[in-house]
Amino acid sequence: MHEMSLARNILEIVQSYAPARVKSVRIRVGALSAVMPESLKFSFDVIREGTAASEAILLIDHVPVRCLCRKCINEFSADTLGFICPQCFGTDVATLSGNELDVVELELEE
Amino acid sequence: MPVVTIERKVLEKNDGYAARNREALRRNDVFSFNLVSSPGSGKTSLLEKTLGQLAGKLKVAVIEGDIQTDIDAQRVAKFGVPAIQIVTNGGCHLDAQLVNEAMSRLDLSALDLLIIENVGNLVCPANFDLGEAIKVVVVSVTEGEEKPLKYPAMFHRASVLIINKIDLAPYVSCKVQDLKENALRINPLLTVFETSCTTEVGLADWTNWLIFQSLNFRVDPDKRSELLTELRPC
Repeated sequence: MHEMSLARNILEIVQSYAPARVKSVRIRVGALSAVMPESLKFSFDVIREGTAASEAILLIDHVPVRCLCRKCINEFSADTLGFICPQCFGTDVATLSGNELDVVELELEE
Repeated sequence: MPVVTIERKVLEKNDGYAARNREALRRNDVFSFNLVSSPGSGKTSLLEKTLGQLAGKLKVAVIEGDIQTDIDAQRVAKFGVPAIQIVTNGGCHLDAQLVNEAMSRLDLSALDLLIIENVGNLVCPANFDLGEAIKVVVVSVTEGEEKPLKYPAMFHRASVLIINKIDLAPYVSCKVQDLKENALRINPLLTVFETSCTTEVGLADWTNWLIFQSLNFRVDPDKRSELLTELRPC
């Protein structure tokens, strides 16, 4: 249940920006970030009580894993063969996306 | 509605501490690894065997992370190495701030290697950079071949895979080759060791690799040659 500590980190960041009431918090979660979205939402709902974000909705943008083969410059998804290039079977592979865990934006009440 | 763009890492506070830890380890030429696995894979037994084999070769300290008790730190302290226990009181992972506090109780200048044994958990510790040089993931053959596919985040971030309890493979019908291939699909650059703490097979390969990495981490070439001379008999 590290989602609770992640939720605390998100709330800390939100509070540093928001004297105003917060309507929503948009975060970006990569498929490799080992986060359960439902559990993160639940944790956030629990700890937002009594803060400027007490009614804020947590919006989650999911980011898939994308890889780049450094040998044949093929961009591919890790769904089929994992982190091996499906075109040349090269293993020198850069991870382009999937590790994200970012607070992207806040929507404030007027 | 006013929208404020933020673009900040959720774990920026942790990553800040991790950067400080990494800098302190670098400054003191201390190689380090974060030992992660599910509960019961044999992390602490492996650690004991490792410490036994490194005695007299590397100056090691251990930071132990557990949800409760200091049993592991006691086990490790028997080897005469400094051992700091972090009790997380329910927390499912170590974070860089906890490790920073533990590191402040160690004399880094007197060390070659810092081992951080994380809480037994293959999910949560994956997110938290502690400032270590590498992550070492342990999986025992009793856990099955699919483990790397089920917990890709950890295997993707690790540099070393230790397949432990290898002597039990025939009894639990574990296809070690499949386990290895699954791990390499998630992370083709993994260095893989196969070990058993009962028969001691594979342990020397692992500890020799560790000695090499620790010496290689040192920036001072004079110190390196001096240590390599000391080590020549093994």
